[in-house]
Amino acid sequence: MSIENNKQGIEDIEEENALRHFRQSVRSWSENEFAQPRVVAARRSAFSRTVMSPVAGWALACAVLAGGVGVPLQIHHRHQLALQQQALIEQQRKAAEEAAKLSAASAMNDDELLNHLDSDIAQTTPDAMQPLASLMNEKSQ
Amino acid sequence: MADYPREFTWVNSMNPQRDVNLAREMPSTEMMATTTTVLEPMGNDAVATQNTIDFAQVAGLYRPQIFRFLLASLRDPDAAETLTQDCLLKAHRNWASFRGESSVMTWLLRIAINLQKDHWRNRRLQFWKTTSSNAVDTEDASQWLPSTESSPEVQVVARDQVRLVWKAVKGLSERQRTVFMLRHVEEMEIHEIADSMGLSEGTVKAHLSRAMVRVRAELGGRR
Repeated sequence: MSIENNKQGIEDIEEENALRHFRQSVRSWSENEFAQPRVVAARRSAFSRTVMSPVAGWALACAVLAGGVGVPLQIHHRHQLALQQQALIEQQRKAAEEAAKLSAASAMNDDELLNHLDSDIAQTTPDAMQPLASLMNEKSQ
Repeated sequence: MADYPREFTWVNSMNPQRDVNLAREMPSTEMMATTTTVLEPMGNDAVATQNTIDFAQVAGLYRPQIFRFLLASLRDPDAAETLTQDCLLKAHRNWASFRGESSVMTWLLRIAINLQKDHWRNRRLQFWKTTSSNAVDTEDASQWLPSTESSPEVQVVARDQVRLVWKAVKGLSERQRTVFMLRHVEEMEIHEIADSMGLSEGTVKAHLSRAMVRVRAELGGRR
């Protein structure tokens, strides 16, 4: 028990000595530094203090971040819109072309049909109708 | 102090508690005598002039101590000098409103501690800026010893002890370091430290205890 007490006592003394030396060291250092002539930086202007303040720095960093992310996103969005519009115009153009083609095809069908009808109409008159046909021919002449 | 004009006593009598503190911290018989005398009142300009003279005495008295505390906390002589100037400037601006509820030194240290906090906060926030720091390494800081030690052996041991304490201090949190410095370098009482830091005495004791555990561990590792 007494050995433990002695050990504790020695440690306490060593601790006290260490703290005393530390105190003396800091004071000695401080006295030396205090005695030295020193140039203190001039205070910055209100403007530069504002600009260089951490809050302004953070605000600037946020603005740069927002610009860095937001501007490309906006450009991408606009590009997508332009592509969509172009696709729509292209689609409308194709639809118009299809409609034109269809109308052309239908017009051609009418002519063919008329030709077909003309060709289908019998040119020869049946025997029973021969007298009537000759009369019509005469009248037309 | 003996050359103070008689009107100075009237200025002091405007703030009796502050004067009591000043008198206690500046043990001068003239000061004690003048604080009890009330003379004819002065104009506003004269009061301002006397306040400036009053503050100049205080600044001259406490500047080395504020510088020492800041130097020990920051290990940067230039930053310590700048913050000491800022501290005194701030104190001068608020000198008229100082009520003397605490001692002048406690009040000045409170300003210094707040400035130190701002300094660290700015350093942390301005991560993009390469701040020019002249912080002295703990190894270099531990080289300072008064030349009163007798033998080179004792000096070597003392230097080693100082180095270990600095090493422990470096690992402390900001608050623990401040408490440790105020207690073991400035030799302030617990209640004074509590006043300066705006903490309760219990909190100060807890921080000091944790700091001492670390210092003991560092010193014990050597044994």
